[in-house]
Amino acid sequence: MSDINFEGNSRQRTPCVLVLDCSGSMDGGPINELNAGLQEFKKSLTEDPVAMTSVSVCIVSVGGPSNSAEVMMDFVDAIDFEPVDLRADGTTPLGEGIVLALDKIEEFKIEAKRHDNKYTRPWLFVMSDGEPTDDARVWSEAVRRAKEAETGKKAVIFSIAIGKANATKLQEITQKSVAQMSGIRFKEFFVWLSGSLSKASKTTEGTDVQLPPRDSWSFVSGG
Amino acid sequence: MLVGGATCIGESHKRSGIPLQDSFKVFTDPSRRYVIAVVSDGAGSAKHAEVGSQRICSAYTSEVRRLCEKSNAVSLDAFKETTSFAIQSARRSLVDDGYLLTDCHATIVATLAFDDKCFLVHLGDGLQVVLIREPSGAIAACISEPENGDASNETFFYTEDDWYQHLRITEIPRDVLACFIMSDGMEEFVWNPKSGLKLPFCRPLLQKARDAVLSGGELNATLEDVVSDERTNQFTNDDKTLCLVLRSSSPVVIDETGSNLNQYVIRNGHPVKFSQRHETGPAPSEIKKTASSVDLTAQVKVPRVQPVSRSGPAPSMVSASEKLRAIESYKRTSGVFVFILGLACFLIGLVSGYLLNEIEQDAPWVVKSGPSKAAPVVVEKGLEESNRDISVTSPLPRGEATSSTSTSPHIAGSDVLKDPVRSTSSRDSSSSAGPVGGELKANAPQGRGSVNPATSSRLSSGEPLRADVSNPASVSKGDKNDVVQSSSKGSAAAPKAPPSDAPGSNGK
Repeated sequence: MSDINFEGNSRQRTPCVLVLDCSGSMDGGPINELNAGLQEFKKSLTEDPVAMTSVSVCIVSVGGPSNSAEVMMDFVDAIDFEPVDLRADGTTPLGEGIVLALDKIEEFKIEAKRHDNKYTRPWLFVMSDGEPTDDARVWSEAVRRAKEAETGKKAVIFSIAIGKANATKLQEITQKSVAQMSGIRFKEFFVWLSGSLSKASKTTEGTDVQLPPRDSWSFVSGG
Repeated sequence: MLVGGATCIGESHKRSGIPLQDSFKVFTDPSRRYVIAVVSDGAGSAKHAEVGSQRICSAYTSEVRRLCEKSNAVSLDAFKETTSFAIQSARRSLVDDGYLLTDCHATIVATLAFDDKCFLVHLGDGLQVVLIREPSGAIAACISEPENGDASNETFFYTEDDWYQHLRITEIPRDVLACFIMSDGMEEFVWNPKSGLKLPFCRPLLQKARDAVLSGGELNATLEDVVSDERTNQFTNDDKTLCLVLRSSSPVVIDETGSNLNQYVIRNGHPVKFSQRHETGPAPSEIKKTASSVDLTAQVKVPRVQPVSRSGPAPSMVSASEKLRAIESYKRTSGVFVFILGLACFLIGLVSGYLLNEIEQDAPWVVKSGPSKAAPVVVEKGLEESNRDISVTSPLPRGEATSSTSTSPHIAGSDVLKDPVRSTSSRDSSSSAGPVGGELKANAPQGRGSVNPATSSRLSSGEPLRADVSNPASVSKGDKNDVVQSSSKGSAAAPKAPPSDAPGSNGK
């Protein structure tokens, strides 16, 4: 009798879009902090075999030399993800970047369904110093879309403040508390890769999700 | 029939210090008439998920045992009612101990297997596969699939308001050759949604399990090896739990190519050929034809009526939506009945009073007050009758003795699961359903015992099982065949009021 074969369903993915603020206001310490955060993100992925094979990463940059929001890197499996060296320049169309990221998430879902592939609830990380320069109408639309995605359980949204960020704006796009990039431990997120979430959109949310002690992600809400 | 089970904490939980959130419980009737297996997966997103999973395993096992002990031939209706009662009981115990139900989200995958039939319970994700023999001699794998949302990590829990809408109960009136019951951490090794059962996993496992049993080994040791195998960690970092019901007298031999295996998925209680599972809205005749090929008795979902009797749950137990549904149900089922009965009794009283007055005016038993006063009394009795009717379908029995819980098995760390529903029910008529919109949150929980170590799994293989030496309290007196495995950390199940400054609380 042959040995038991453990073959998982390896086609499941967790789409993860990073909206990265590369605007001029990030120059100096903040952009260095962001680059270090990306390296930590990659390291955490590498250390988790499940995350390494199941997370798909997409990067939307905001500002930078192009002075706009654009897809810097389309979805790639974590194993193929290599952090780029970001440079600060230009304005901060953060709202535009958030809308673009949410559109990318919807694209991913459509594509996954078309190929009959499973996916877990997508993640959206917004990493910024919190000073968007969008037109008020654009920012309002971004906030509306983000709230709709969060309450409709279409995506899990995390706001991450860099440096001495203005958390007021970052707080508008999520009900969760804004986290600080410093001391971040991305691998704690990977608990969520297999943690079950409530499908019921009307379910009353519980108290915050159980996460490890002294982590910087204890604001992560369940459900 | 044998039953065993094992569980293993997920790698990510281990790394992050999160407790094992899966729980399971297996039980073999001392007379070997039936076996019970229940697996519950606590939601990773819920703060006290391990408590939710433990409570339902304990409640399900104790209630189903109670049912089997009082009935020689368990009917599907009785099983449905018992299952619903167990869920309500678990929900109530959580609320009574001060937990938010939304902090204790957990799924249910469970089996009650007799020699000649089995009942399946499924709510949420996880997987259950029952192997039976077809008349042709081929083996039929009947698969109870996970219920997910669009995203594969979205599912449904018994702790949600609309739990009864997602509860699936099926009866398979055939000899069970084997049955796999598992949490979602093991799902992907056992089956593929596109291709079905994974024979390279299932065939060797069945053989190893049978070999272990025949050689005097323990089924649980085999299962423990499986769930803790390092190779699983390449694919999942979730908790993994697997139970196996096995008829040792009848070996299950599946060809290497699966040529003697027919696969079915259970849809609305009906077995549907695996190849036809994507066809939506099959005609009832087609379902019947498919069902007859394996001769199953299809059973549909069990939309449970919410407790509506006067002995209903405490206000804190029931959400506003549940109460509204209960009220609507009450109105539907009893309103017309009460009206007609009351009217009929009034008329009867009127007529009989008139006749009595006319015929036997001097008889001592004649109602002196006359028919006009008799009517309200009859209406009240009608209400009582109406409540009884509803209670039949309600998971809450009325006025049952609480002493029965004294023989309930103690799940480790939940020795206060004292069946509060029944004890409340016994107070019956003086209580009411309470106002609509009661709070879910109750008082802070009281202290409890510890839980079993994660690494230990247990077997109920027909022989009385030993008590958990590491935690003697985990198997109560008189329940030696009853085994529970739950959280790995003693602190995991220890109830505590959700501390405002605890890890996981809002970290603003």
